[in-house]
Parts: sequence; structure tokens; C-alpha cells
Amino acid sequence: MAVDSPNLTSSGTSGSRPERQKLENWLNKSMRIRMTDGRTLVGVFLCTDCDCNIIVGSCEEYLRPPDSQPKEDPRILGLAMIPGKHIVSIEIDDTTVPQGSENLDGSEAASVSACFDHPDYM
Amino acid sequence: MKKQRKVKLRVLNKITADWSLNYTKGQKHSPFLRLGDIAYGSKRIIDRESLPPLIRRQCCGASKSCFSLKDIKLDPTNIYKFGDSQESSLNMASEITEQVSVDQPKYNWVDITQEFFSASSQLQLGELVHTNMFGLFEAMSAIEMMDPKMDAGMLCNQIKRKVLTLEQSVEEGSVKISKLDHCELIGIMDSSLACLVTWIEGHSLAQTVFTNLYLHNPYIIEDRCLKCFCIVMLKTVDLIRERINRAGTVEEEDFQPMSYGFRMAGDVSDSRALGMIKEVEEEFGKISKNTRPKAGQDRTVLQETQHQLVTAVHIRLKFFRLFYSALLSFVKEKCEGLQMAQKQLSQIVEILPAIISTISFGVQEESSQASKNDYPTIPGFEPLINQRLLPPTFPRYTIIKGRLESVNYIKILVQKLQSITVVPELGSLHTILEFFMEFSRSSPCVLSRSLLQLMLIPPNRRVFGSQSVVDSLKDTIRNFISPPGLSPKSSIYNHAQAKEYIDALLTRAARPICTLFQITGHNRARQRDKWAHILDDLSNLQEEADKVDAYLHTLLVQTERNRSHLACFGTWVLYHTLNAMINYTLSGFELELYATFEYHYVYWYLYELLYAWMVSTLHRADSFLLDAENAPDMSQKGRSSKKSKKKKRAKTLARELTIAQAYQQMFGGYYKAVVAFQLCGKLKEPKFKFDNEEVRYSHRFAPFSTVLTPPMVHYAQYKEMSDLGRYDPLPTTQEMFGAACKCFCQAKELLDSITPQTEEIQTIIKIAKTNFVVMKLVVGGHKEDSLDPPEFDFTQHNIFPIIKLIQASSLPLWEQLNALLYRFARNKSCTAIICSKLLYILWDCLYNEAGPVLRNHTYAYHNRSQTDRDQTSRWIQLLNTLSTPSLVTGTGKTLKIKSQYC
Repeated sequence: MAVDSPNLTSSGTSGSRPERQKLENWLNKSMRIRMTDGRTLVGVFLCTDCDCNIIVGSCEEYLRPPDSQPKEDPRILGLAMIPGKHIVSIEIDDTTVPQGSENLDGSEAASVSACFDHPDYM
Repeated sequence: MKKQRKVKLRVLNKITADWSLNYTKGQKHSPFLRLGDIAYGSKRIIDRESLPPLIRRQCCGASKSCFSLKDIKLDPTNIYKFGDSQESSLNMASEITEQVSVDQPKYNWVDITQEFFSASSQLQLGELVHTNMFGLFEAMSAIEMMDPKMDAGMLCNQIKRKVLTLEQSVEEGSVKISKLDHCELIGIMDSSLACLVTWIEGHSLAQTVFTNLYLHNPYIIEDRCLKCFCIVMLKTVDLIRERINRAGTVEEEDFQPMSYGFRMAGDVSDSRALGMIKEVEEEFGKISKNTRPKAGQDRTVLQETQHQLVTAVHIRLKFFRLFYSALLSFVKEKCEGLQMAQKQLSQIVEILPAIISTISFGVQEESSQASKNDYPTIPGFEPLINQRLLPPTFPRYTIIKGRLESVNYIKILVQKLQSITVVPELGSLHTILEFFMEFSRSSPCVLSRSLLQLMLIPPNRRVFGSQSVVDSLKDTIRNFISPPGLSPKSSIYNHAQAKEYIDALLTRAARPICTLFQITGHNRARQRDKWAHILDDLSNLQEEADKVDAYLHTLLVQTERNRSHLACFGTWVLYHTLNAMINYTLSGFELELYATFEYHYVYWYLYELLYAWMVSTLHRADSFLLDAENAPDMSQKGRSSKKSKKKKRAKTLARELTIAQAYQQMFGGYYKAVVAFQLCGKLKEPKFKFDNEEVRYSHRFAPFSTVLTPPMVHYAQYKEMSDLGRYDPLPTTQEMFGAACKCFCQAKELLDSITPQTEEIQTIIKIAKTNFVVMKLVVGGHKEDSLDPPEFDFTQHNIFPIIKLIQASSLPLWEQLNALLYRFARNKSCTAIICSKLLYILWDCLYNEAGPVLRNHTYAYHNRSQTDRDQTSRWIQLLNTLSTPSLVTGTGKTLKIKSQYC
């Protein structure tokens, strides 16, 4: 499915509608999504469309609700697409500067770009 | 100290940055393909719970980047190296853990559900909001959640029962680690074997062998028998994995090499593990001996069963010990362990029947309903324990083999292993290659395939670990064509320049020749690609061989006028090229790629080209051998040889030659038969909608275009060469069938003359005979006027089919009718015309659901003893019945329309 009209794919164009602006501000932030079957996915928000289908990178899958104890081991999914109809709730990570880590600033960009996990499909 | 750590972390960041740079440069796929896997391995080891999430994420990124820098960029396929890297990532991770204090709020989650939904709903159809580096291409490789075909995790939530680890189960008391009774031991051992076999068959280690909880931590087991069994099992798994990875002739459909970071009892040495199991085995052996029935002793049933149980455990321990030590024997350098392996394998063969007969003693799982992922097991096994280790791919369901089935599998495996122990005694590389091909034809499992590969060319790249490849190539070529350049009798044998040339050529030849062996180690379907691929290398080698030959020839004729060195090494390379081409073409039959309407050019290519070249190549080699034997000894000038000249030829290619000729005749027979079937209309080419014969032809033989000798025959040439118009007068169908008949007859005679006869040759003789008879019948007019296509029956042999003329009755009714109509249309007698009219009506009736009645009409038709007139009247009667379909009005003897038909 090739996208041929440039205005559809153009991202980061400032001066677009406020809704779009809002979505663009969330890009590259950590996102926590609960799905209809109770699983929680945590990953970096990469892409969405009009049906609220969301693609997150570096995605981790948790079986139980996030606050339950004991903490469980996540399963690494990598790049995942969650159809809008299966989304129950969306949360965004609002920590602007990660705490206690001036050392780590430089690597934040890296961790973001590390989100393009290509799962092994073959 | 603290500063040091900071530096380390900075290095780590640098690595991460490098890695992301790699990504942007577009090196996406090859390293990434494995990254998901690696993330797993490291995940198990790094205690991620103790890390704050941001750092966790970084760990993940960092450990990945270490992999990509250390291993993947160097060698993406070397998966077995990952073990080391996992540890290094563990070290790094622990450093980070130390660096950052533990208790911090991790995320600050803000709910944006409504906002998000309303914002996204404002987007236009097809409009995407995405980051700079993310496009539709990347989006394609995302897993779709909640799609049962993509989302393996969906099932996790559907299972309601609690999944416990080994430690938890022990605590809860559902799994015993001490005082296991014999039935339990037998059950655990047999189930473990079943898991092992399932794993070797290509399933993931986590979903098979490691569903056995005991293997997760054998050190906490108190029962000595179970403990040593578990350790040996782990060592066996590790050894098998190492061997298969090292041989490198498996594809992902054959075997999953990942170990998921499970610990394989690496701290216990081989000899210690064997010693442990041997000790326990002897203990059980003693008990078994003591409880043996003695003469004149009255035994209770209890005593008897006790004895049987102890013996069953004893032989199982013995089996696992022998199996592991046999595998170890194969690993020994220079094939020194083979004799030992033979002994151990024959011991295993002896005890296998006893294992099979005692399978029923082990505890069995309850027979409750099994779902796709969850299935009932005996205590100690948990199918869902590694559910979180499922790779982020589409779900694959693992069905563990049955216990009996697994032991039978091992039986076949052991037989295969026994058969490969004789390989070092086979002599020349050509014989060994033949053995490899033969072995591969039986579709052996990955383990035996890998062991065979490693036996011939172990990691030190010497044949059987001892002789260099160049040296054994020299021996082999001497046996094949005896080139003057390699013969001590020749004048150029000690020529420095000549030697250098030959050595250079053979050093170059070593790689493609080793690849030939490797190809046979792949699974049958993959081999086809590989045969096509090797042609490139062989073609280049051919060119160089010809140059070397030309040079050696100029040297040789200076001293020995009447001898030639032309096309000597060249012939040898050509032999391998032709073999590769033939294997490629024949694999199409085995893999059922060719449609019947393609047979004519495939058979033509084999008959007129490949095997024709093969025969002449072998002829040339054979005459070289003869020349070499008769050549005067130039190294001992003036002295006449005292040996009698009338000795039997030492080296000859007669066998290869006869087989090649026989196969050529076989394919000739098929080719002519197919052409004849086309001539008489029994084989028709379908109307192609999207391609034509030329496209298909070029596609089938595309790999041959890289080869210079023999030159590729293009479609136009093929059409010209195979055109029957060359003959005057045009051959009739009968003549063509007659020619095919002759070919099969010749093939049979040639094959008969071969000694010793292998089972395969006998099968082919049988096929040649059958086809000969069928052709003879066709020439005599059998089924002459039916238009039924012949059937090619590959059940006897997957390359040479038996040609069958199908019985009309096995065809669907309407096809039979069609054939009848065709017959009557050609036969212009009055009765026939009436009959055909009636048949038309019947034909009509068929589509008006009068089928049952029609069954009887064929009966009437086949009863040829009646006169035509009688028959016609019967047809009329039959027609009458159709007009009043509720009745049975048959009057003649042959017409009985049974009531249940109506």
C-alpha cells in the first residue's frame, strides 16, 4: 500500500491542525496501552491513523494489570500494531527528563531509535 | 571506583549510539533478524526487576548493541557464540544496576485515552501520524495484536490454571524431588525422550525439552537417579545443539538452534556426568540381578513386578548413558571414536526392544482434553512454563511426540548412525559422495546429517580430520582419470612448475568440492537451490582446469609425444558439473514440481543432453585410465617393466558408465513414450493463460545458463532439435511407442549387467521391465482408442515412474461417456450412430440427475458378447426407462436397474 500523496505522509509539519499537533507531541514517548483481553503493552509510540490503530516500538507485553504484585517478567514483542478496536485505555509517560541520570541524556535518543525492533518473522 | 563506572557507562552509550547509527545507515535486516532472539537470551539472565524501567530499556538497547557490534556484524549466523555475549551483557547490566539507586518512581503515567481517540478520529482516511524515521515499510513488519494468526500471546490469558516453576511446585508438593517410585522415573525418562525427539524434529527447545521442570535446575533434585539422568539429558541436548550448529547444514525449518539461555550443566564435565549415571546404573543393575527369579523359588506377583520395574529403570539409564557416550565418540578427532561408537550403538540396538516393551510401566498422563498449547502431562512437566519465551512471531504449536513413537524414532536414528560409521573406509571422495547422496535420499534427521558432515570435514577442514583436502582430491582424481600430471610414472610428475599449477588448481577446487558434500547435508527441498547455486563455482573452476590442462599438455608433449593432457582435469570438473545439473533436474521429479505436460522437455534434456554428455565424459575418463595403465614408465628409463601385461585393469569406470547409459535409456524411453502419447492425443497441453511453454522451459533450465560446458540449449534450439519433422516420413505413433519400448529394454539389459546389484538398481530394473511391457501392449493396440491420459506412477521410485494406462471404469462417469461418444463418432456404422444418439440423450439425463441409471448403461456397453442389434434394443429399453424414471423395466440379462439406484 504505497502512499502517493505527500501531504498524507508528511509528519512533523508544524502549523497543521491542533489535533494533529497533539498527536505529534506524543510521538517517541513511552505509551502504556491496555487491550480488551487484559494484557498491557508498554512501548514507544511511533505511529497512528484515523482508526486509532497504534504502532509501538520496543514493545513489552504484560499479562496482568500493571499495578498487581508480584511484578511479572514481560515478554518482548518488538514492533507491535494494536488495532484501535482492541484498545481499552492509553496512557502516556509524562516524565520529561528522566530522573537521576544526567549521564544518560545522551543515550535517550539511542533508546528511542532502538525502538524499531524488527521481530523475526521468518 | 565510581569514576571508572561512569566511564564504562559512557562507553556503553557510545556503543548504543553507534548501533543506532548503523540502523539509520540502513543495515536493518540482517542484524535485526536475530535481535529479537538475543533480547530473549539476555532477558533471562539480567534481573530486570531490580532495574528502573528507563535503565531497563537501556539495558535492553545496550545489550542488543553489544551483540550487534560483537557478534552479529561479524557473523550473523553464528548463533552458538551468543552464550559468551550473554554473559558480557550480564556484566554490563549489573554494572548499571550498581550505578543507579533502586527505588525511584519509574513512569509518570497520564491517561489520555479520550484525548487520543478524539484526536486520532480527526485524521483523514489514510493519514498517518508517525515519527520521522518510521514509514509504511516499517509498519508492515509490526505484529498485529489480537490477530490469532499473529499474536502468540493471546493464548496466555485463556489458560486459567496457575503455572508454577520447579521451585514453586516443589514447595507446593505437586512435584517430588526425592523418593520417586520406579513408575514415576520411567514416565519422566520416556517423556523426556519424547520431548528430545520433538525438539530434534524442529520445535523450539523451550517448548519441548524444557517443559520438563527438573531440567531447569537439576541440582536441587535429591533423588540420585533422577538427578544424574537430568544432568546427562542436559549434556546430551547441549552436545546435539553444538554439533548441529557446527555442521551448519540445517535451515530454520529443520531445527531451532536457540537455547534461550537455559543452563546446560556446563559445570559438570562429560566424564563426571557419565560417571554419575554409570554409578547409579550399576546400583540398579545389582538390585535387578538380586531380584531375578531363582530356580525353585516361589515368587509373588509383587516381587515379579518389582523386578521388572527395576530392570526397566536400569535399561533406561543404560540407554541414556550409551546414547550420550556414542555422541561423544563421534566428536573424537580423526574419527578415532568410530569403533567405540559402533560398539555403543549396537548395545543400544540390543536394549531398545526392552525399552519399548516397558513403556507401559511409566506413569501416563491423564487423558483429558488437550488444547492447542496446553496438554496433560505427568508431574514434573509443565507445557506452559516457557510460554513467556515464545518468540514475537506467529504462533507455532508444538505437539510432543508419543513415547512409543519417540523410541521408534531413536531406533531409526541409531540405525542411521550405525550406517555412517563405515564412511571412512569407503576410500575415494567419489565413493563417499555417492554414499552421501544415497544417505540423503533416505531423508535422515538433522542429527545424523550433521554428524556425517562433521565426520568427513571436521572444523579443522581436513578430510576425516587427518588428510588435507588437496591430497585426497589428488587420490580421487588419480582414481577417476589418472592424469599424467599426477602419475609418478609420467615425465612431468616432478616438474616444479607443473606441480605448482596442479596444486593451485586443486586448492581452488577444494571449496566447491566440499560444498558438494555439504549440499547433500541439507534437506531435500533445499538441495535443489543449492545444486543450482554451485554451478557458478563449478563453471569457473572448469575454465581454470582447462587452462591448467593446456599448459600441462605443452609440457607433456615435449617428452611423451603420443600422450595427451588435454581436457583431463577439465573432464573431472565436467563430471561434477554434469552431476550437479542432473541432480538439479531430477530433484524436480522428487519434489513434484513438473506437470505432466512439461515432461517432454525435461525428459528430452536428460536424455539428449545431460546423460549424453555424462556418458561421453565417463568414456573419456575411462580411456584416460586405460592410457595411463599402458603408458611406459618414464621415471625408470631404459629398464623394461617385468610385470606381465595381461593383468586385469585395476581402475575402471565401467560401473558408472553402465549406470549412466542405463539412465539415459530410461529417460529416452520416457521421452519417446510421452511424445507418442502426445501424437495420439492422450496427452494434451492445456491452454496457458498467463505463460507459454517457452517461459516454462526457460524457467526450468535457467540455472544452466551460467555453465559454459555443456552449453545451455535454449527453447528455440530445443524446438528445432526435437522436431519430428526432421524424419521423413513422419514417425507414426506405433513407431514412437516401439522406440520407447526398445529404450526400456536396453535400459533393463544394461542394469542387469551391473554387479553388485543394489536395492535401488533392482527397483529400477523392475520399473524398466514394467514399462517395457506397457509399451509393448500399446504397440499392440491396447486401449488404442481411449483418450484417457496415461498415469505416471511414482510410488516405486521417486524419479522413475511406471507408466500406467488407466482403466476406463476408474474415471468419472461423464468422462467415460465422453470417451464412448468419441468412439462412436469415429465408427460410422449404423448401430453406432443410433448408439451415439442415445448416448447424447443419456448425457443429457446425467445433468438432469439421472445418474444412477447411467451406471447400468456402461455395464451394458461393456458386455460385448451381444450383437450390435441386441445392444441397440437394450439402449432403446434403457431410454424407455428414462422416460418413466420411477420404474425398473430392464428385460435383458444385462440390464438390471436396481431399485436402490432409482
